[in-house]
Amino acid sequence: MVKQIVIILFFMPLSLFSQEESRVIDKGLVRFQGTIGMGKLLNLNETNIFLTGNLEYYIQSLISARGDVYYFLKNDENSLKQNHQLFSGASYHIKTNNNFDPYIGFQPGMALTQSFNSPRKGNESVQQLSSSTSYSPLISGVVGFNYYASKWFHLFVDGRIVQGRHLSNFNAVSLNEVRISFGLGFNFNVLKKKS
Amino acid sequence: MNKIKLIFIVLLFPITVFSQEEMRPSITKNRTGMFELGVRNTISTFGSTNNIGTGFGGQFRLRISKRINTEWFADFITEDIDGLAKRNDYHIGWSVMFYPFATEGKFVPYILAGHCFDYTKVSSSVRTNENIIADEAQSRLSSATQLGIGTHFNATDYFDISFGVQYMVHLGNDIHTDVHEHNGTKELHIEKESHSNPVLEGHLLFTVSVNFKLGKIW
Repeated sequence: MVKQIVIILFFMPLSLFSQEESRVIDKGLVRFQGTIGMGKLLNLNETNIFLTGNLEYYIQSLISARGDVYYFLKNDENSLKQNHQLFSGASYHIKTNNNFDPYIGFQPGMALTQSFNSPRKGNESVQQLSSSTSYSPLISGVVGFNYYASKWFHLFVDGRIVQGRHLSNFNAVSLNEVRISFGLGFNFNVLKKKS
Repeated sequence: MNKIKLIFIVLLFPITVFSQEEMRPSITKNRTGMFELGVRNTISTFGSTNNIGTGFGGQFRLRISKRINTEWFADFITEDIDGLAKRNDYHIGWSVMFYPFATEGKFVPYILAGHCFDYTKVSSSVRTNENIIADEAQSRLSSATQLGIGTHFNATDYFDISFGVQYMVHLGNDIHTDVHEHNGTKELHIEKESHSNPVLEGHLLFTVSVNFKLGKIW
């Protein structure tokens, strides 16, 4: 039953596909979204959960400037107490003749991180100490696609790989992670005149 | 409060290119006066600790002639020193970029040279419950000069990805870390040389940046 609801929610944006004739992807397009993101820490085999959002502006139909924010909610093993991240960069959009918009991108970023001295690993009685908070530079690549169902809405699936290292007064913690998010986004064009 | 402001500024960075149609450069071969804004990652290697640092930063460029561009940058680089200490470097500086070959096209190679000022802080990262005695953190200010090569990849007329490598040499007080074991207890020493004995310390920096050409200033 839960799976059915998830599938229905996932494909709900498809109901917005209204067979518009005009191509939405163009210079001046602004898109933004907010959703939940999930990530797998590659070196620790742990799962992170984020609230995430981004804002993107197409300076041309092929190139966009983009900023992303990830607000850290939870880490399964409690190795990380804080892992909020911020990215800024650009995406290259592969040319298509419709409103399907695959892209790849590069986004340097920063993380505000804080770790525990040892993972809890399901043992609630383990006493955990917190490290000092620190800022950690990040290298990040993105790949994914948007499908512009109408002038105002789009479906997106966004994958990201992150490379970084949390350094503090405790042992270093790798921030290397693969992340995915998807959902419904909003868009409008700031340059196109109303028809 | 300042963190929140900073987050908003960085997140809204793409908005800086909003609706710049009037200012946006036309597809012209004369790039003089072009203003560019971008972000970058820097990898620091072959430094005094032989560890690799990762950095985040940004830059703007102002092209002053057909063959000469200028780049004004700021970087924040962190480095794990053998799992015992961390080193934070804050760089701010400028470089002149000279285009000896092509000045337009997909690939535009360049030579760069410039100056930089930096603040470095090295602090312990050992656990408090381990059997290690660690010194207090040490910091320094220094100046540097850099020389390097690179190339722009102009994906479009308004956007480029740049790859560069530069050797940066700092003149200032040296900070170094040593570990000694004494009666079963490790001692982490973080030492700074005196002001009367400045030293040269260099590292090789690899930089990848994305840059938006926002418009011509003149």
